[in-house]
Amino acid sequence: MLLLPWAGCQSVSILETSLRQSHSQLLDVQMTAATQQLQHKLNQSQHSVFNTNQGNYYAPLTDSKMLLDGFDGEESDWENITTPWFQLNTYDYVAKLSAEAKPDTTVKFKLAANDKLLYIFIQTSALTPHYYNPMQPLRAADQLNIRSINNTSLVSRWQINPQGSGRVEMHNTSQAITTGRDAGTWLWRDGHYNIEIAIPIELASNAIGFDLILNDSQLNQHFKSKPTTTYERSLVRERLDLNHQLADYLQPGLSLYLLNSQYWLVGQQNAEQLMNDSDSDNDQADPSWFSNAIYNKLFTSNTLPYWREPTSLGRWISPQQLAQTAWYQDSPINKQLHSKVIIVNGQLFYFVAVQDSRQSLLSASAALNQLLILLFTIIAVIVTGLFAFASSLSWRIVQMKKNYRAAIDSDGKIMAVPAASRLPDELGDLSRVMQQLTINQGKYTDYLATLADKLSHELKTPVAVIRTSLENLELSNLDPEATKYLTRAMQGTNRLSQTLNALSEANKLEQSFEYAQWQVVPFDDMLEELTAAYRQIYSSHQFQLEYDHNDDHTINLAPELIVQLLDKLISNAVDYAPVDQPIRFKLNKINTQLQLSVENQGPHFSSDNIPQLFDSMVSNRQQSDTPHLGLGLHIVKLISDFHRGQISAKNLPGEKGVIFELLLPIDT
Amino acid sequence: MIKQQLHIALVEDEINIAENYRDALQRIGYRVSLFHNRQDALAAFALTLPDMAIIDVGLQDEYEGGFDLCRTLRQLSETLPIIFLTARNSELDEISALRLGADDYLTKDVSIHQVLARVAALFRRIQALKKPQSVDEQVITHGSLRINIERIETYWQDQPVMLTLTEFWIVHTLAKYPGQVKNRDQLMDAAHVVLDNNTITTHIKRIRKKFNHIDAEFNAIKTAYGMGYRWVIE
Repeated sequence: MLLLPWAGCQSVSILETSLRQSHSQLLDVQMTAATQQLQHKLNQSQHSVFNTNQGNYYAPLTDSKMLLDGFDGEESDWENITTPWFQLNTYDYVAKLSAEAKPDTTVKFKLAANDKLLYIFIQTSALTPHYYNPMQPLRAADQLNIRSINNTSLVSRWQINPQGSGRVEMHNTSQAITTGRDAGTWLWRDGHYNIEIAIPIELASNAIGFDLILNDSQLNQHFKSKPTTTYERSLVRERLDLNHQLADYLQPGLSLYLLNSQYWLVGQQNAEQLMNDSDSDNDQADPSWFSNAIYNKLFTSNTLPYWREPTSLGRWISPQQLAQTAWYQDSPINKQLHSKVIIVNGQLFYFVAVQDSRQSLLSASAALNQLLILLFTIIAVIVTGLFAFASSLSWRIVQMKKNYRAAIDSDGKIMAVPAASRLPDELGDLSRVMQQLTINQGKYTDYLATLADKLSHELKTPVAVIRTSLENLELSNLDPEATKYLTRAMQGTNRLSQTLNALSEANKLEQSFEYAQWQVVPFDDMLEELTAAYRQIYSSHQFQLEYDHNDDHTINLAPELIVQLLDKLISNAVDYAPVDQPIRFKLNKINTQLQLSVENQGPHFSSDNIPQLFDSMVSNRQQSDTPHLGLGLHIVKLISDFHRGQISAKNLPGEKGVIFELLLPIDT
Repeated sequence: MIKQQLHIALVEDEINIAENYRDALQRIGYRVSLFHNRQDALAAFALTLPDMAIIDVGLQDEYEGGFDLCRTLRQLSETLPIIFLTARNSELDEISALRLGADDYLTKDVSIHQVLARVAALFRRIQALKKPQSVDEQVITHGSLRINIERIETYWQDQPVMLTLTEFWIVHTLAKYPGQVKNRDQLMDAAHVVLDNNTITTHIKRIRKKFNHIDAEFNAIKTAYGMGYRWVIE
């Protein structure tokens, strides 16, 4: 039965695999369609002039208007923009200088763009500023030149001549009339320049280059994008329109990336963004965390490579990932990476989709959920059913046991035959067989019970014939020789007679129970009289009676039967008890019972047959002159049972001595 | 002399036993007729009644033929002494027999001597009843009790108590020495019966009931447990 959940899990696993595959195929189809649209879109964007061969600059998308204040640290506009730093090099003197003499000044910059402006942040290492002094225009001063090309191949040239730390103007030197405009901030702070400026993106959408001239360690030291006079490099930027385009294909759990041939991120849509947009969905999914956990335990393969964040500072980290569709291990859900190559005007683009298995998970998980619920319901029903069935069987067995225990008394006598079950099952059969057995047993017991009586009755007539004949013989005159044999024959006959009487005595006693007369008598007085009588009858023995004279020993019993019981006990005792030691009666009142013990110093019972002492035909005696069938104690037991009392025998501690204890309920 | 005139009918299906008893009875002078079944016995009794009938309970095919015969005999004669002699020793049988008006119930394991003694005792009672009441009759009087030994009559508060012969001798033995405990053996000897203890108990019960019938307060026979009974005078 426990195979059921396992089989269920296997089937869910298969379901999950096929879902994953179909999802993968679906994704593939979707991506193919998306690829065509993207290709079209990219074509329209005239990216054909991208010169990506000599490296390019990258500007990620910034969604806000940035404050040009010369700060890029914490709490500045740059804090949330992940963009790489680019270096500007001193191409001019590299060859001529030794390594030691090489200027230790470095310049780096970073970019960000939105659909209006390209933001530029340039930082130098520590230096001494040389500001432009309009009063001494020929004196060497620090200067920034920028070349930019837009997608109409219009070249723009910009120049900034800082006159001090603070706001600076920028001059577009490419135009006929040189115009100045507020460019941003040129700060000299903590020993180095922080230059934060912005230029319109429509003038720099294709390429941009920098030529920073510093005069710190050397005069007119150029830090440039390229050594040539046309030092611009192509600009790759993350574009809002592409992002919007990608958003059209977005699905839950799907992250889309568009990379150029240098693996720069030109467009992206993250699944997380969508997830953040739909927190309420998340909340709904939460209750299934348990099944998700089960699901992950069951289906996550440890052989898959681990998933890492694919992009860093705007660039795809491991291009080899793009070669093939692959699955990655991630917590809590696995991810699948798909990539497509788009070629636009000879330029390579990678369209990458990272799909987490959420979708298939949710379906499979839902399936698993339903399956598990179904399975556990079935198991619960089966278990409940089995339990109920087992309980009913157990109950029937217990009932049967109770019935039969109640039906057969401690002596093995059958009081009433229990009704047999009518059910057609094995227990019903057993019940019927038991009933039949009990009936047969009952018949046999009855037969045995009457056997002795019948036997004695049948034997009595021939014995009477023999005895009357012998007695007649006795009355006729016989010679002494014959008289001797006659006497022996008479003795034998008498003994046979006694045996026959004894045989039927127990049976007769049970008949006499019907006529037993119950009487409320003071048991102590009755015992006083009885011991007096026993003293007379068995004059050679001593009898003692002990009881508390303050107690009331009134009891309801059948006196004649109790006397008979005691007669048997005493007759038994005097046979064994030594003459010099008394036979002791003790009467106690214990709650609602009277306890009478009869104690004598006769030899111990052999311990193994004490429980059988009170059975019919069991004798403890070795030898005896009178016929002894072991019926005396059996009669004691019958009378005790008739009074709903308890009789027990045990050995006294020490070498010898036995005690019989009779417990009689006072109110019967 | 008298004995030879006395005629005993012995109804017993077991021929050997019947003849043994017949021989014993004849040896001491009784005239004995043997019958082996109820029909033969009834046919003979229709002609002439014996002086005493000794009957077995089971007669050939009739399990209780003896009881039926006893019932018929009682209708024929109120006074005819009837003794049951049977192998059955159940109390039920004995009570049935005494209830049917039998004077005694003996089991076959009693010795022939005891049977003879019972027979003699019964005849003595008959003789005594036939004697006219005389002045010198032996009478025992204790309180409300009066016993005429010659006539075997008992009175309580001057009303006659109808006792069987066995019961009469028991009452007589007890009342003769009030206060003295008479054990079962003594009572059996007095009643000339050999009965087991339970039978004496049965007799005592019946005696008490008969006295109670006249006087609900009757309580003169006390049980001395294990010893026997004694007559108590209030």
